Amino acid sequence: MDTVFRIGSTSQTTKARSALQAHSIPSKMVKTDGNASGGCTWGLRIDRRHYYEAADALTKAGIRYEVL
Amino acid sequence: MKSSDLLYFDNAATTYPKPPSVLKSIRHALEEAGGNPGRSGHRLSATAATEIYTCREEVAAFFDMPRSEGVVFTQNATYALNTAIFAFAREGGHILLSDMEHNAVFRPVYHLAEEGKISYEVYPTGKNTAEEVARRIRENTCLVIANHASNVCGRILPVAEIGAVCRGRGVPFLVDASQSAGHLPLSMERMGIDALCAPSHKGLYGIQGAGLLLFRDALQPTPLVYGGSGAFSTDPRMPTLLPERLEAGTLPTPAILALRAGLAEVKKRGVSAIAEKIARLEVQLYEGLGNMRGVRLVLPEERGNGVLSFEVEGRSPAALSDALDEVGVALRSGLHCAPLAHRTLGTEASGTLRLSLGFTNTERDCKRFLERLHQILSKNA
Repeated sequence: MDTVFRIGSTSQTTKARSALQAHSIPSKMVKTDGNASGGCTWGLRIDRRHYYEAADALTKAGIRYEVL
Repeated sequence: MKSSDLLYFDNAATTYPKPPSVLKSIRHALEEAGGNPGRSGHRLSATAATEIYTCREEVAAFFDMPRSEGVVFTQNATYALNTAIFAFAREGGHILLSDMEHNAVFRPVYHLAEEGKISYEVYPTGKNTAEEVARRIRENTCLVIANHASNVCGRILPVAEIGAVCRGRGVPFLVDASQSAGHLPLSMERMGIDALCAPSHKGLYGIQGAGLLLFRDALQPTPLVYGGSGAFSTDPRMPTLLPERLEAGTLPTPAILALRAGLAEVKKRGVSAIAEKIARLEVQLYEGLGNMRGVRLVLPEERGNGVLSFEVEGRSPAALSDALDEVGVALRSGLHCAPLAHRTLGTEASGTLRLSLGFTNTERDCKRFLERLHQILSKNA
């Protein structure tokens, strides 16, 4: 099972990916569907087993996210 | 004439030849990262976006800047400078710029002044430059601009000293590093630089088509161009965060990856080693030119960034440049888009002949150039 952390722009998402890599958490950069609140955004798909660790890493890196 | 016989001394306009790794990077960009960065979700697009982000990180580290998000890719240095100037200018504000500025700085500042939005003042360089800046800073000064290294002569401005003055007075400091990036050491942090602009295709050995605009702090500058940013598209406004805020439209992946490869070449050689080599070749050229009858060197006592100007008595710079092209020498004549600098140097009437060095130039190149020039001058004496 996968989880997608919606980040926002590609730059922020790539930065987020680097933050996860630093914790050896594999992720894939994915485009998320557009929605009324913001349009297309980018996120990281990760294995759900890494959920808490990934959330913690992103928070510590100061990266805002939304879990889809 | 074979291209190997060409003596290229126009590196201040664009460096040539590019290292083989730069050429290879362009092919890599088109083949392996050929998607549109930040637009689609497939692997080609994602690869392009990731590699561009890596380039941002490497550029930030190279210029000693803590935030890679503050690295904005523009079309060229002129575009970057315009964006920065418009970002810092404010209604009723006062801008200080040096007497060595290129039109990439002077024209946007002049335009703002002509529209009545700002006033500007040109500060003299050469002696006590930082003090001259300090003396001119007013209550409403919203920006100080310095051309780190002149594109006309060898003058290098004391950016660290000017940066210290600006930091002490709380005035933003913008540096045009078009002729110094890759040729002279630069640290935004240590030099107190708030924004730095540079082309990718000069001392950083990338190709034409990309420029750099580096903002040290998280600002929300007004963009010059509006459009797609690949995200948050239902919002009719540009994103608030850098770099996307200033990067409307498709980025030039081949030019950005070429910049990354060029930067790697510069780091491999070392900026200090490049500076030393260029300084050595400068001495050779100055000495050789100084020994030729009728040659007048412009500011020969100020050296360092590999740019030197000269005039030949009774000769038009343009005609002499043309004659040198006939014998395989590439240099540039005229005002070099920097009339302000030429006015300062007293060479505004017809400009100068400019030689500009890069790390691919050799002592042999300089020797051969001096021989060819001597032949031309002897023939028509």
